[in-house]
Amino acid sequence: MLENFNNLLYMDGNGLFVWFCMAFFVLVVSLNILYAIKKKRQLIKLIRSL
Amino acid sequence: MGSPPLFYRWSSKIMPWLGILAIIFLSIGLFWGLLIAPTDYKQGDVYRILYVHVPSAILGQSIFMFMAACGLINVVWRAKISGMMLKSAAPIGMSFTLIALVTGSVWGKPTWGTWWVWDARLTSTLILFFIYAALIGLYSSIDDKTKADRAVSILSIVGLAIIPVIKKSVDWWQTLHQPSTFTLTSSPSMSPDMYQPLLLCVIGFYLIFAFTLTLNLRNEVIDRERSKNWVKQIFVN
Repeated sequence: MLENFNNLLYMDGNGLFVWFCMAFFVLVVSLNILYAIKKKRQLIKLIRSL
Repeated sequence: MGSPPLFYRWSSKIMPWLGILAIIFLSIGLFWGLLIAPTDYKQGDVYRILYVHVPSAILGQSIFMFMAACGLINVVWRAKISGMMLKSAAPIGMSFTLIALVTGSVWGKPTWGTWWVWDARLTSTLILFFIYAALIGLYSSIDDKTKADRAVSILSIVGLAIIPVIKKSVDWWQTLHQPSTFTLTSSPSMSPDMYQPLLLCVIGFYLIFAFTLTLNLRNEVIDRERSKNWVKQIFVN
């Protein structure tokens, strides 16, 4: 089990480079979506206060 | 579609589908590419960065072309929605270009032995990133949104000149960067086992772009039309 996890994580020794890129992609896309959701909430609040 | 209220209503129907399809395509494409696709005989497993790097680079350039088209529509026909689309797409394009730069740099370390070289492809992509930053900065510096739309439209049309330079940089100059993975004129040099998940990832990335663009665009529509009755009817009741 642990050996399988290590194979998945480290692959042929460069796995961390691959997973870092994946994590960076997920982080940037999530930030874009979360920022848009936050902005929508602020706009709704502003419209209701007008 | 050019009318903001019509776009807002139409987008609320299509947006969940875009999100679901993006998750499906990305999950299958990335799972296949990262865990099932065969290991490259030269680069080993590190080549799997391609499944994030190539779609991001394609998106970074495609979004700029999309923005230039919106800019042209804004300058010629002054369609309100095109200015909003341009503003909404810029941060997404900048994000994908950043992902392409960072993942390319991470890929460069184990394969080229360095994080960065002032290679033609890398430098021209960095210039694209700065053009995106300039577009966002220019938009923020002008208070009048109609004038800001026009200024950003003109800059995006002029800035389009960087796209053929990026595309052809690997042919025009001696570079460390490999030739284009996707070409319209020739069949792929990769094995189908590696190429098929890449195609799924590219489609998934386009869907993620469409989803995020719709989210941003809906916000922009609400922001600009907030004094209009149709917006109040949706949010105040």
